[in-house]
Amino acid sequence: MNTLSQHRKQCAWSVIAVVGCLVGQSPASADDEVLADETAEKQAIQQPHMIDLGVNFDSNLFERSANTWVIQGGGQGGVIRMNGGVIVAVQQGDSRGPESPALLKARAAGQKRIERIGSACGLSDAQRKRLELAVESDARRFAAEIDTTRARYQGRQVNMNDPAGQKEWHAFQQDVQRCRERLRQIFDSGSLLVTSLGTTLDERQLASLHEEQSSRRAYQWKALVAEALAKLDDTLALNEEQHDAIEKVLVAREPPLRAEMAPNALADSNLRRNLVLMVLAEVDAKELRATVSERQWRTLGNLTSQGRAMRSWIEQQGVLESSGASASEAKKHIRARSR
Amino acid sequence: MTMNAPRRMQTVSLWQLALVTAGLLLAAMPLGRGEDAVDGQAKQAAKRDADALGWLLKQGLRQMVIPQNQIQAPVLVQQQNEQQIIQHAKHLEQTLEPVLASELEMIRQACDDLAPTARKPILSAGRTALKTAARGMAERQMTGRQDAFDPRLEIRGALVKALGTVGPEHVAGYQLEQDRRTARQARAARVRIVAKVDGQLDLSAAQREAIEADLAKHWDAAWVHVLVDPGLINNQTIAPDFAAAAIEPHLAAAQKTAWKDWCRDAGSKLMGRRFTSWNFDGQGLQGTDSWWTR
Repeated sequence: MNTLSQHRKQCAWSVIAVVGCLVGQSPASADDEVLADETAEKQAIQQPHMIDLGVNFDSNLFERSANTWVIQGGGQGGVIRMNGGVIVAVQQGDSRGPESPALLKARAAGQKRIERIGSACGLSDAQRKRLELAVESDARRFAAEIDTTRARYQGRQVNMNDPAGQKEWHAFQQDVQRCRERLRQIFDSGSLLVTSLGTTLDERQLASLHEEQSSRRAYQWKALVAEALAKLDDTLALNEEQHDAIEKVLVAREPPLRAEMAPNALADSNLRRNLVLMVLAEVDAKELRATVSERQWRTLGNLTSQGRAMRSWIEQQGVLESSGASASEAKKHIRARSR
Repeated sequence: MTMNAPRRMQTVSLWQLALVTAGLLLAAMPLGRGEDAVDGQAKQAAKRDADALGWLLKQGLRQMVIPQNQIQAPVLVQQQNEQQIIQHAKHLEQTLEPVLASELEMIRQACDDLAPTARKPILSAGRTALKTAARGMAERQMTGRQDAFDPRLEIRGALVKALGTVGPEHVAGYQLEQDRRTARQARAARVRIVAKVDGQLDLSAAQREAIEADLAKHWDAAWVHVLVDPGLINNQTIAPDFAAAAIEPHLAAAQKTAWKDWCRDAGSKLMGRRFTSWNFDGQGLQGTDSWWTR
């Protein structure tokens, strides 16, 4: 074998050897990365992601708005561990007082309602006392229902990395959603508070209360329409005449917005916008089409279709009265009483 | 294991591959060249190979220990950044297209007697402004520039300039519609502010009326950002604390306490920079209006 060839062969093997060393011994080598990945994957599969449903029940029922969910720790002393031991959320569960949180929340909501009634029509001490008793009765009935559901989840831990655990979490979400709906309706028609309004307040007070609720609802609707139209203004380049015409038909079609809403009930801008588009979709298409140009209608027609399609979702959000506002319901009672 | 094989290949550095390839090529060289094997040639070849190997090893080692972005020359980094801005600007042009379509529609409504010869230059000015606005947005988003920039105003400004060459009456017509729209937006923003406060603090009808009037009296055009709601802070709607001077005087004592708590926990000041004019919902007038090219 000649010298040049020998030299080249030696070179080649030394290169391969060096590369082998580099690939094999580099601190952040590819093999190491792959091994680390595999280990993390295995750990993620093996490491249970435990959620305490009891801890999560109250936080999701009372502290979150319609569509939002929070997963609080509590499965392992308030710490959630997943993906190979990495802490992704650390929150302590609520400390429980002697009374049911459902009862406390319902009482607080009822007290707020009485304050609002008082500022709308003025209440005597005797009237206030009667309404407080009605609230207490409604609150206890509500708390009993909620506590029955909560009891099913007390101390119940599920592994979110397991299909059975995920299934249970979905069932839990449906239960919480039902309880949220019940919470929204706690002082709706059929509640003792609303029934008591008809027998406790006089005609003048009821009229004042009705007026206050109507005014509040009208203002809320006015704000929703104004906001949605500002967006439509930008999208469609409406002129003053077109804007005013659409505003007029929308204001005239005020939907039965819930008089007593949680502050966050309308926090979702998509909900606000689609609510207005849903109502706009109820307007005769011919009338609407005559208001705008053909070019504008192509987009507006699509938007109203979108609003129409969102109806069932909007109704699920609980921002619309299921049946009758409390004051108008009470008016019905007082009419029946006078007959 | 089969699943991991491609990933393993991807994670091996290009330099490591180059070294392996160089080694294999050298090993595969024909061996039967004994007649050329004079010492001088062998030494020269050995030196060349050693130099090449040394360079390859040096680069390979550098590549393994020094992050990619640190060994690139600054000029190359600048070129890459510029390329990214150009690509992002192209994407933003599509996002801003509805803004231009809307402005052109407003001009058409306000100046329907615009001569066909005047339309094309206006459309062209609008298209150029669209590109400039997209570029401006992309630069700010990619480089973190914090100066005020409203792409709508960029586009409107260019259209006004182009309309000015046609005639002042056209500018006046377009400007009138703009002013009316601005006034409508301000009204909508005021009502939105009052509705937010009402939702949180249970205002009376008289309070709603008084606050709305006070907001109109002390109105700041920047407050229209309330129409672009960024969501919740601490699970609360964002308090319009920027308008406190028009709100606070009309609140009862208990409401004032609740207002202060609300502002502390979820005041708009906690949001930092506002992206009001950056929010485009993507829906706009559909198709190109042939009137502009007729």
